[in-house]
Amino acid sequence: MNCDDAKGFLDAYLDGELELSQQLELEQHLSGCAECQAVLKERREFRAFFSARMISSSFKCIALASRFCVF
Amino acid sequence: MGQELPRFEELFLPHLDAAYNLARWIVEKDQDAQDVVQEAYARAFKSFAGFRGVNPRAWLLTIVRNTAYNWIQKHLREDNLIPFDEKIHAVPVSESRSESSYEKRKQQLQEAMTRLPPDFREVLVLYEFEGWSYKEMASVLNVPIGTVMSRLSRARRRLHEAISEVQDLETEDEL
Repeated sequence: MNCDDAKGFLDAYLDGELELSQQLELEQHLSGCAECQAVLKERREFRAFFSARMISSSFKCIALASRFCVF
Repeated sequence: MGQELPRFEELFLPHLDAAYNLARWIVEKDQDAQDVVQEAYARAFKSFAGFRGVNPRAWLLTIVRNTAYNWIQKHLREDNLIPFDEKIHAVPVSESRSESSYEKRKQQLQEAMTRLPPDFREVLVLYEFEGWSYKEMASVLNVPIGTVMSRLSRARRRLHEAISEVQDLETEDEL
């Protein structure tokens, strides 16, 4: 696995969505690649930054419920 | 049909907020999102007799998604709108700002999200709000899992950039 491949897998790795074989291959690459380790760290930090804001940004519409009197 | 109504309401009305949230992130405007959700529920009710799924929320959100994209296509034709282009549709930072940092951060994220194409916003919402797996998204979006993986990854990268842009613009305004 080269760096381009590894970077393409990093988000799925953090999401826990990689197959075991992919995960092992990625971890093997990460163990010897400082650049990809740094990218992983950056993405993990952004993940924390983003997730906290995303939850608070959910849209709600109280008025919408009144439309459903037709049902 | 009369017997179906209580069951339909029981299964699907609890997901009204999720339906609105997804529609809002795809079509952006409040009134448009309300229209999309109402139409989606009407479609869901018409198809309800054939519903055999074990996940009414996912089934409903699939209909909401399809309805939202149909809505976009319909209004592109009716209004002769220009398809989404990040260079064209980049939204200027709002001049009105909340005093609270919480509201400010929330506003920054919402503004950054509007800079993304709808298909990027969609995967972010389905993953982050709805907690769908890559496999579930692949099934609903009718694309390979590898496409979900790359789309979600690109969406996050683009969002990261967009948030930085929004923050930079706000910093410039404050100087």
